[in-house]
Amino acid sequence: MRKTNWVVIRRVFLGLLFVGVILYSLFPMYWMVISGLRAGRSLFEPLLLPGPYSWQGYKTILSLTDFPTYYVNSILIAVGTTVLTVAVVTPMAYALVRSRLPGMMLMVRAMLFAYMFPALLLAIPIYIFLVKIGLDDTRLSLILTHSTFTLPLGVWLMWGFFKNFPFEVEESAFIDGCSRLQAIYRVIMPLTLPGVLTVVLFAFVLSWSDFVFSLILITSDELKTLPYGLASIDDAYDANWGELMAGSTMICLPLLALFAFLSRYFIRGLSMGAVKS
Amino acid sequence: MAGQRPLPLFSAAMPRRRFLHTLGAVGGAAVLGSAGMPQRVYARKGTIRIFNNETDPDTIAFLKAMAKTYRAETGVRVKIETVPVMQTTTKVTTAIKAGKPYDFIIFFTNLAILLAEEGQLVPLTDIIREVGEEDFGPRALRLFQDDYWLYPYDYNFNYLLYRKDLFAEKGLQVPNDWDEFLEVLRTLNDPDNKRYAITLPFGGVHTNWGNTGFLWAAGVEFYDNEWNVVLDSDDNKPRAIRTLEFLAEVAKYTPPGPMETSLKDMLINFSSGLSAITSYTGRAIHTIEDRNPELADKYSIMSYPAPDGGRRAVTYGDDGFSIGKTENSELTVDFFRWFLDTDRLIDYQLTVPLHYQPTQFSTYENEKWRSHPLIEKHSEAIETMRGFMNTDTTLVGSIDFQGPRPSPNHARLAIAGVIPKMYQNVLMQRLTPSEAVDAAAEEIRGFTTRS
Amino acid sequence: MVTLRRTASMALPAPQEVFRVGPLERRDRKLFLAFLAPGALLGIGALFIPVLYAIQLSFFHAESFIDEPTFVGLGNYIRVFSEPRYWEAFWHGVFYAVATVALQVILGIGIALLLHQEFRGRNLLRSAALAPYILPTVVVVYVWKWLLNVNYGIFNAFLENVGVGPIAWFTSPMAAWFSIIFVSVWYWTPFVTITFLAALQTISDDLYDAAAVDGANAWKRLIHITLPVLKPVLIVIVMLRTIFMFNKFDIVWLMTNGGPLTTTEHLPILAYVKTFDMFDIGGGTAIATSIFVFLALLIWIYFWVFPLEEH
Repeated sequence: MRKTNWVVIRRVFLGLLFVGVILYSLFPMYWMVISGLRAGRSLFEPLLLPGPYSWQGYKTILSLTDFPTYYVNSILIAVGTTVLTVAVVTPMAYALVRSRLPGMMLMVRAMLFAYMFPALLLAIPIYIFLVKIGLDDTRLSLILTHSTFTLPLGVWLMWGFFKNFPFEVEESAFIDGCSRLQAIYRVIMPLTLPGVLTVVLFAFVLSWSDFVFSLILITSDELKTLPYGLASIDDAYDANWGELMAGSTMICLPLLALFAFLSRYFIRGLSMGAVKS
Repeated sequence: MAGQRPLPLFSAAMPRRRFLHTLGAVGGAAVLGSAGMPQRVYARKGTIRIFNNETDPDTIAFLKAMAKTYRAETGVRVKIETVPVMQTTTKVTTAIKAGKPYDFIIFFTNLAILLAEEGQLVPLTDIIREVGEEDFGPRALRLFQDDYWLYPYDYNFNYLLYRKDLFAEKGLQVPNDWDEFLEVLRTLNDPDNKRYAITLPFGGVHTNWGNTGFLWAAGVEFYDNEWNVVLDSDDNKPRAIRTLEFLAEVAKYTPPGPMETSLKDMLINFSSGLSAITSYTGRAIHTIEDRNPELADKYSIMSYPAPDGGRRAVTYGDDGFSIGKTENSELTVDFFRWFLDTDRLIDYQLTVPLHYQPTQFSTYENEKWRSHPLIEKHSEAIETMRGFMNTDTTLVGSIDFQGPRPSPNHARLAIAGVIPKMYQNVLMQRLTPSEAVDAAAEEIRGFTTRS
Repeated sequence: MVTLRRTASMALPAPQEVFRVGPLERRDRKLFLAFLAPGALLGIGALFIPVLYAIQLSFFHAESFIDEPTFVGLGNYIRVFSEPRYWEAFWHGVFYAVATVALQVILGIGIALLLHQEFRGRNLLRSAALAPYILPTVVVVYVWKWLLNVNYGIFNAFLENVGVGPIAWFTSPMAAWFSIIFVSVWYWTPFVTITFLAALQTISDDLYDAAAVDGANAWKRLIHITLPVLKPVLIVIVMLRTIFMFNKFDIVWLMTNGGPLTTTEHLPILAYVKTFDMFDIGGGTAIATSIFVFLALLIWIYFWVFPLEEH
């Protein structure tokens, strides 16, 4: 009897905590979506379940800005960054774990410096450098720059992943007469998928969210990314909170959908790799 | 071709947005139409890069349509690069540093002077003299090192918009001095019903423009003719202190959080009816037309009253065109002449007609400009705005007019945010008005150069 | 207790096993170099050169990026360090980093433990709780500026209903600090949660079962099984977060501009203000460099105190 009571209390308590966490995490997003849909002046009356609704905010944004173009750019750049990150980080992490070249760890640590310098002050020298090599104002320039910032954490994640990888797996492939490259390609790559997926999500989100680098490195209107585009809309003085929230929703929804689907693999990938000590 | 004709396309009932859509469609049609014509032999090649910080979607749409037409006519490509206005300085200077300067720049005087001093602009003196210096209103043109560097297209006067229906309801008149002004605020303010008297910004760089009218009306000066800082002189300090005390009083009649009032808030608070007065430009009228047309005949415009009556003031904001010293300078000068010769300046100003206040007297007589439905509809407001160009009744004040001549000091004074800091020190009661003036003067001395 | 700890450590691979050198290692050295080269190139091109350039600027006096710089040696540093404003910003930064990192870690562990429970719809709830992590900064700022808007925000509307406020969330000194810390924690806690959640999944159920047989209650299981597993992750997370938060510019800048006055101004903001608003490129980059040196030092000490087993 007492035991059941305890179980019930525990369940209620946990249930309340869940509701609390969900409210805390999701209410701002709920309010974003709702505000984007509210008509005219009703926007300024803070009601929890508001009406009347209207698509005006969306219509204004879509008809008066290049939001579809920003979408294409953001997707291309985020996908490019993701692919490049995985392509660079995976072999790098593998080499770091399996080779014993001197100065390896120093290199990885040095990369952490990327996070130690204010981004805006880095962006300007990067821009100047990119102009010198003729790569400025291109999607590629953003892909390269974003990849620099995904690199340290990506290497850390994959490194954790490989170091838990029993060497016997490759060894058996070597015994079968494979070269290391073949062994990597045939045996290791398929097994790294969960880790790669983690890096994918991480890199995609970083690139998709960036504002500072697109602001400095991109000049053409037709190459702007979503966050930069949204910031420009904010600055068009008659843009209202309704349009801003509609634009924010349009930026977030695809990602939220993707994340709802991918988060479990993301966590699984992390737990198989980086955090396993 | 159709895009160049004066636009018989709108009726008075047509909202601004739709009108511009039509404009865009016509521009597109012009390009499509030209595809069927015999192929032009392009006389010239090249690309002109335009830096644009006018982020109004209608202005951007116009510039893009214009670029297409210009390419069709001359073969020269025009590339529009729109940047949020707050990022103007960063973006323009970075581009120069990186060796990719802009050819044509849409921005404001004080940055133009900075660039001119660095030798990054070509003078527009010839073009302006051809148009005629006398056509430009008071203080629109600014000589720096004997040349003009910016062609102003918008006075961007900051004045006060007020609800004349509420004034009438309470039997209020346009106040003539500061005591009357405070009395008006007291009468209008009704916080219990979420109705406040006035919206003014007290923080952020937009305060330099959005809430300095009272400083100019009080005759406060920051520099003398030798670039000495005179803000804390025997003459100026009492005026500055009086203004700060007055503003601290005014701040009691604003909606909560006056220090975080943004440009957006000023427009929203006025158009939503939260506050009965706001400072802004004609942009606020557009906001009313778009968001709350009920108010379209219920507002009026006034300038800032002086402390004891007399000559009132407005704050000058200035937007204009400059041409960068680049390998495309000649090409760009030709483009700009074309822009002026084909009256596109008028079309450009008409993309946000009540906001871009023309600096040239001739514009106010221009048939196309006058007959725009919004200009016609709000003719009373337009007359008031034009009245601000009369120097006998209105003082045009600005940070940019401090000291003897245009100078990089103005940009420093603006960007360093000395004035909003002075306000905040008083509002937060960190410093007394007198101490706040001293602190501001001290800071200005720190960055002033005398060249 | 001793038995418990031993059981826990048995679940983990011994550290020495991590670096097994293959017999073919020497032969494949070229391959390894080829694997490392792209990352190294990217790091040098887009990172080391710009950092060196920025550091170099800190030894020069220049009013703008287009100005011709003049060499002043350590002048910028001496000037910057002698300003009270610098030290004020420094301590603001320490406060911001400590507060946000501590809250992120505490909340992160708490939420991770909660989401680690078995229940129906767990995956959906997890996605929901972790969602803020994937929002772009610009969006986070707009959404919170709207929620916390002084006149039209839902927060103040709620507060007014219970008779408080309205509060100017970005310009009252206390409220401004609260806002930037709250929003930062809201935004970045999910990253911490995800990592801890992943770490929790590495603990096998057998371990808990064995502990339950030994008679350990939930609290003891937490202290002796769960937390030791989280420790290495915690060490890395705290370090990464500290670097990140001490350097975080955009959220604070976009929400308060470091204001009111300089109430919420920390070093990255001061570096920005110097460089772009006060026409002092040398001073700005000197501050940036000082952040860099400070963090490098901090991390060196940190790893000396908490050595990671792997190294």
